[in-house]
Amino acid sequence: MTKFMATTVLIIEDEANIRKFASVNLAARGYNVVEADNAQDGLRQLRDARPDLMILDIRMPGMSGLDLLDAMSQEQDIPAVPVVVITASEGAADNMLESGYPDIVDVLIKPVSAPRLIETVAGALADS
Amino acid sequence: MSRDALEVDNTLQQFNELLQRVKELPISQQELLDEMIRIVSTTLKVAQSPPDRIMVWTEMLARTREAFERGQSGDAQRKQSLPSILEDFKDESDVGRAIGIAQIPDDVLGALLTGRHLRSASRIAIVVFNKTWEKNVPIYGTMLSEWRSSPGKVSLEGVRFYFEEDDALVSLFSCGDPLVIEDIEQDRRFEQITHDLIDRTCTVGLILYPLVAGGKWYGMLTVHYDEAISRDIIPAIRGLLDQAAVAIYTMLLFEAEAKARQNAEQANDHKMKLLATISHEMRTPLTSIKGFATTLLADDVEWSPDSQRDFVETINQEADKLTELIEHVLSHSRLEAGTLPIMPTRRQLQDIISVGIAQLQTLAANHELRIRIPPDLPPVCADQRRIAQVLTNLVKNAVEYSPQQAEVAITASTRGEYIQVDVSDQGLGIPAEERVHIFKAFHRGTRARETQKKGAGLGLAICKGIIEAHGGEIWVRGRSEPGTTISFTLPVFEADESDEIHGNDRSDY
Repeated sequence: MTKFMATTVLIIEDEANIRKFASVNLAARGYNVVEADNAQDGLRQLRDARPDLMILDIRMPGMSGLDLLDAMSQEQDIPAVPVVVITASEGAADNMLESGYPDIVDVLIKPVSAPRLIETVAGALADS
Repeated sequence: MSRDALEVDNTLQQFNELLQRVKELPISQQELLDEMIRIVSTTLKVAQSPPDRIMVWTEMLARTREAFERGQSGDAQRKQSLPSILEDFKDESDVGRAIGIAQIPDDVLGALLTGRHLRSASRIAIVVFNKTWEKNVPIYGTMLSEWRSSPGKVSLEGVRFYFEEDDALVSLFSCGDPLVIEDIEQDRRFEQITHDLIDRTCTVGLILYPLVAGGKWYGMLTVHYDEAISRDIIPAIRGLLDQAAVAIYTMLLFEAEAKARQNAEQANDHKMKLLATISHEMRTPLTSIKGFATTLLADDVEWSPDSQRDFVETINQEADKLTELIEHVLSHSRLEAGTLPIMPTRRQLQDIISVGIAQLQTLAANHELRIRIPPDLPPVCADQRRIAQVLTNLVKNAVEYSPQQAEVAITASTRGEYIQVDVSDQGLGIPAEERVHIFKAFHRGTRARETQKKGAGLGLAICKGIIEAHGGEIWVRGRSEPGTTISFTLPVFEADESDEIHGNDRSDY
């Protein structure tokens, strides 16, 4: 799969190995990957790197994924970006999609396979 | 008034007339009573009174007849007039009814106080023993509910009476009969401490009535009077007090059951949360395993041999983490259930450490691991594998929460019949208010939260379970320098003990 202009995906996930998994798979398929291991750095990357899509882990210590989404909607200088949420809980997944966070376009439920990750990202970008 | 009530009223009137005649005419009492019973029963049936009322009346009359006969047999002290007997039985029926609808012990006292012999009491209290009174005297009684004729009177709420302090009282009370103190000032049978207690309540006459229900003597009712009383009061109130005993017992049972159910529900909640936490925690390593496995399997990308190796190593690491998590959860459950196999034998602490030293050194690779065990340390009674597990856990925590190159020390000393082992680090330390909680299962302290460490929070709970199964203790030592010291004790091995001393089940995995 080739792209004329590399699409940037921001991955916000505190578990190093999960972050690596997402990162290597996306990079190998031509995406430009930016990472953050906590929500605060994630916010900074949103402003600086201007990604086209964000993959966001919900359950993180300190500032949670949901806190970040709140910040995103409240602060003007943070651009709205389509969000794919990662969670371990199916219940939370259902809530996410009905939640009224309009930027959430899809949910990945752990454990995630490589093909599922790629097709979800492609799908989310195609829709936006 | 309804027709039924009129009839009953009528019957009562006839009854009273008959009573008058009893006093005047010299006819046989027995014949008279038979006649009375017949009239009342017939009238009540005709009046179609509810069956239970008929029963009550019939019963009352039958007992009246017995009591009257007893009375006439010449026991002057027991002689009671017929009207008086009838009033007592009516009392019992009415008060009994009120006791029947009582919902709490206070209501029972309220019902008792409507009885004609109890109305003049200055205080009535329900006292519950800390255990059933059998051969061994219960240690103390606690007041459950109390009524005082005026609030100005001293309350005994919260007072515990330790029965062993008055042998005379105990021996008098032990036979299971009510103890009547007609006039405390004239009664020299008791110890001063009992007098003092009674004095506080300004009591002169006192009844201690045993509360028995379900075959258990579980407490006593204390009935206090401002004036001297007579033991003749007892036959009149026995029925009431026995009914009260059963009602109170039922209430106590319900309360105990409700509490047991609440505990069971809480335990169940705890278990549900446990399951949820575990399954959540397990998904993390599984995500990496699944992720990298499917990454390697994807056929639209070719990975370099270095990448492939890297991914496979990651899968392996995460599989190890998952294994550790599962083992922790298993250990913790088994410790809670008392089924973790623990087989202590005679061991030297130094040997336990030597066996596990490689692992400890790996854990502490980026730190200074110092081990100082006195050579003359006595042998202990310990399960080598489990104590090694404890040490590994403690060193792991020490390493996680302290900066690189800092010292992690294991030291030991003798403390009488125990040896004490201390694992210290120079890291973040544990806030004082958390020291009690860190050994609880699933506790994730502020250190863990702030440094973003993952994990179920079972390590210290498992250490505690293992140490306590050995008969030792584990705690956080207070210290002035920054850092943490966790100490635990193990019993010194006694030469004449058998190798296996603990009740933990020997079942295998």
